[in-house]
Amino acid sequence: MADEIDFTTGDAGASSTYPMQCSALRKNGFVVLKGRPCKIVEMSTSKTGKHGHAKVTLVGMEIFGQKYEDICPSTHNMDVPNIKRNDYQLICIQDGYLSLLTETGEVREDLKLPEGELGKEIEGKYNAGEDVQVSVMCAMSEEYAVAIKPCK
Amino acid sequence: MMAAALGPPEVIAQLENAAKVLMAPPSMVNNEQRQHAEHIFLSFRKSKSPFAVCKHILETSKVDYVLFQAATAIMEAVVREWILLEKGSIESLRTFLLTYVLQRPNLQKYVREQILLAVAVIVKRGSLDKSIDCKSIFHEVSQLISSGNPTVQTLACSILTALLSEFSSSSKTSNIGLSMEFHGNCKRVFQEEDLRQIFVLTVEVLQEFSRRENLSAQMSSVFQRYLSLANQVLSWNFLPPNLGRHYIAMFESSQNVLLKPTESWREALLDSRVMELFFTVHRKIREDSDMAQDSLQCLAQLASLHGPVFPDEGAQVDYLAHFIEGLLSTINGNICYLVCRIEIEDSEAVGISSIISNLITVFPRNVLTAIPSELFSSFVNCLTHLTCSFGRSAALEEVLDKDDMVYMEAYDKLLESWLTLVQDDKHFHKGFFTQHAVQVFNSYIQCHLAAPDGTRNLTANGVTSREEEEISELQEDDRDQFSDQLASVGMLGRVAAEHCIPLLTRYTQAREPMEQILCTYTSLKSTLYTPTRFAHWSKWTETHSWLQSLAFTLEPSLLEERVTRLHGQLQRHQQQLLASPGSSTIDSKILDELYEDIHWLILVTGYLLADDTQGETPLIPPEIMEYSIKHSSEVDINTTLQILGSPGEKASSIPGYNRTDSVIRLLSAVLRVSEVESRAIRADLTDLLSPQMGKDIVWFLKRWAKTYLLVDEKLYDQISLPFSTAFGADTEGSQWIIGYLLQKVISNLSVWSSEQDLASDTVQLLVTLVERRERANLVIQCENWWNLAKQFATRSPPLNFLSSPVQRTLMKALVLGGFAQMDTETKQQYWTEVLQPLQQRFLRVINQENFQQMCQQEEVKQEITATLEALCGIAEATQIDNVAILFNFLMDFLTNCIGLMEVYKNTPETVNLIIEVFVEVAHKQICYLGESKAMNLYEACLTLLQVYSKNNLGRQRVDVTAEEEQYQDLLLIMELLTNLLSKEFIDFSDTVSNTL
Repeated sequence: MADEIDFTTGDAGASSTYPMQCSALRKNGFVVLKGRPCKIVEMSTSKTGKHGHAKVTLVGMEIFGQKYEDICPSTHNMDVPNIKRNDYQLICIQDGYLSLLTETGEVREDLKLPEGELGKEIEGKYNAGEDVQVSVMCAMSEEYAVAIKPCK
Repeated sequence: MMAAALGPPEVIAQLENAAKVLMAPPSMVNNEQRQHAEHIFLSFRKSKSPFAVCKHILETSKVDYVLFQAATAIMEAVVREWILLEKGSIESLRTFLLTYVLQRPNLQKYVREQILLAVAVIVKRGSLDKSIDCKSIFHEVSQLISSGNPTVQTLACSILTALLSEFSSSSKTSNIGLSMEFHGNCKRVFQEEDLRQIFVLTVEVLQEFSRRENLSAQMSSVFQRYLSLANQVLSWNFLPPNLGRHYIAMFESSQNVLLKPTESWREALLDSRVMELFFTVHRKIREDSDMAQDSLQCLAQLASLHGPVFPDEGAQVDYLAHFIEGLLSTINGNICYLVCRIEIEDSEAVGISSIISNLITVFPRNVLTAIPSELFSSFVNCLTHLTCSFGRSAALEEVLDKDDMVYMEAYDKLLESWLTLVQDDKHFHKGFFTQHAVQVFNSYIQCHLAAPDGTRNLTANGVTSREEEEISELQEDDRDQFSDQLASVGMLGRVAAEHCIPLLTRYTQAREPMEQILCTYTSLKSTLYTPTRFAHWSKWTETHSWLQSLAFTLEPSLLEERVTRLHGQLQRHQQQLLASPGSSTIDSKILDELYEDIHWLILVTGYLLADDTQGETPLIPPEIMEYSIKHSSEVDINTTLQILGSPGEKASSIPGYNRTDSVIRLLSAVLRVSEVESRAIRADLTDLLSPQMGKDIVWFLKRWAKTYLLVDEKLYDQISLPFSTAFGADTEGSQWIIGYLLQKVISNLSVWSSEQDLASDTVQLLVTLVERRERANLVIQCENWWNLAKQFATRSPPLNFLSSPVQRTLMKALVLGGFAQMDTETKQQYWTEVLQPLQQRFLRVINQENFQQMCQQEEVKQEITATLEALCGIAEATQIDNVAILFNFLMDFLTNCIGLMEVYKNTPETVNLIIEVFVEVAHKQICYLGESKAMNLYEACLTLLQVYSKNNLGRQRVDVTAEEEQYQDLLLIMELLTNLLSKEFIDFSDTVSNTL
């Protein structure tokens, strides 16, 4: 895996998130939990005692994977990852990596074929010779293919 | 078929084998074998004239399940072949079955019940063509009863129960393939004659038992069965004549049946010995909580007696008087009209409250007032004492966190009965209920206040703290959870306004002469405070309540006094913080107690002063208006205004503070709480404050403002001078209050943005201030309003910290405010500040040349999201008189939104929000739109859907929340289509002029 780029370093980290008051977060939005960009799958408030202040319990899931949970005062500022989505044209699949054509005409080959259903789907469509567009989501310098759509 | 092909012994063998298969554990037989066995029974039950075989089976087989199936087969075949059978053979079949059961006392219960069911079905089917003489069965049963043998008597009871459920034509009735009308007719015939006979038989048995001294366990179980049978009879849902098919179904499904028998029941039910019997029975068995359920239920049904059974009003009065006498002697032990001593079991609470609630609901007021007045007043006294006592026990249940809240349920019922009782002002002279209302009101307050004024969280073992509980967002707020209780208590407070309003607010001057009583009270309290059981507890609380109600007159104002204490407490905390910064070990116990006291006082005050109405214009309750008018001659208006206008000062520090209007004083007490809160915030003590109390304050102010602020004098016959001076139209007072409330809203939105519920109540207050034109006119004269509008338009902190529903409602309020009366220039300026920035910023973003490239940048996305959210808020502000302007404004956006759909096609959150804007616009506006405008909207929606489908056809996404959230967009689209379709049946558009 020599050609795999190490996503945990790099200068993009500094501006890859922005703060938001916990109470303004919303379900299905994004948040950083335990240093990982997560989608908020559950959000609930509680308080200690009837006259206590609100606390927010957040349950988030990484794009492909683990579940994280955090509880904090609702006045707390949480980091929210900047989320970017791009659509690329699929050119080919090689050694488990996707070759994608960007809008500017460049080819990038650094994205892994995703595991699971979607990966199989991409492979199947590619092998069948269909033209496929791949949506790639980028959060905190990590990128994942998250959706596909047949072209035309 | 099977019966014909095989001889009886073979049939029995086959059925017994099949039964074995069916009863075998799953590991022993496979599915196929099981189905086969089931099939054997099904076809056996369908076989033609199986009577002989069945009789044979019943007599010879030892397998219970087969016996059960034989009984079922007989039952089904009798109904099926009824017209073919000779009446004589039916008769002998019935006799055979009864004898069979009688001779076999050790039959399995389910087999016996099934055989009796077959008998009941035969009787029912026969009742219509008169072929079977029902009388004979009752004769047989009464013979069984008189046998004195408990087993036989139990069997007799089972027969009667089977008949009862078969004829009740409820869900318990077996399906015999006959029409609803047939069932209805059977029921009518049955309830006229046979049901009554069952009742008479049952009463006889109960009479017999109630006379005996020591019942053996077996006898007592028979007793219980007959009691439960009596309950079934009295809970009979009497079918009125001439009820159509549809109504029969509806009628039969009704819960909570009241006793409304036909005229023929007069003798059976109006005989005073019958009622007495049930009271006697109950007194005998009240300690057995299971049996007491039935006896209390019987009494509750008797308490609901009404309809043609009473020949005239006089009979109804007699019945009621008699009933109340019985009830009082049951509750009190012995009747004593002056002191009501309550001696009841815990398990009786709910039953007794149902009895009382039925009496009050069912008997007309003129009957209630026609009973001997002494009796009526002891009934009301008793009700008062029970209510107070149940209230205290309910509070205790809450502290002890009991699973089964019997007293709470009983208390709810009684409070509801009070509401029914006091809302009638025609039959009772004015002030009749005042003293009672005072007591119930006091005891409610007392249960919710901390010691020493109240008894909150007090148990036999001292004070229990419940402060550290984790409370989730699913837990309802007290104001909703206890809304029924609060509504009743509020109503009682109005009835006793003379007492309750000053109680909540301020001093009464009875201090010195009562001092002695207070001493007695205090010493009594220490000696009596060892309740070990609820029964003792109620005895104790009775004395306690009497003394406490006296003690209450000694207490200084409840709310004002607590505001002062809260202020002092917060100041001490501040000094402590200043003296040793960083010391975080502040004991918040005293504060929490104060917050909880204030919480309840504000809730009660809110329910006392105003009603919560949906869609209607809420009026000032007449009792409150009257109270204020009555005292207005003693009131100094200027001092009243001064008290109102100086929430920062202690009310008692203002000279002449006792000559003020008490209602305004009560409002100003809440404003004082609010002011203490605001000052604490300014002193940086927000962490110490209670968001719950903050919520209570804005909730109260909203409720109050809806009813009192800018009172519309046209709606009242008479209006109190203090009210019209303080918050009437064109008064300084109302302008001042509006300014104050607005300031509060703005402060809350920035300080409490993290408390979503509080922020949401706060914007609701803001909406209340602007949703009526008259109030909005004053609101927009405040500079703060303009500041708020400008600040929100800039999307800067702290307003952008608010959660999205709160922001939407804020937008809604700002738009509503824009329709207040102002000159053209001001209006122009207002829209330039509020709506135009939205449009300009939006257009600036989407018209950038490189928008396509930038669209995924976080700032751009946030800008777009905020705009879409605001659009939803604008749509929410739609009213009939502003829809023309708002529709045109929103329509421009909708077109652009479709473009956005294309740009953000791979960003589901944005796509959903765009659809949501359409959903809101359709939801709020479609009903007002004329044909051409509606067409514009339809077209926009159509284009939206086309773009959506083009972008999503064949799209596959991975989503961690796949199962629940992935189809959010489709759900929204369905909602959109539903909203569009609603035009078909809700249409307010003016088709003639078609101005829209």
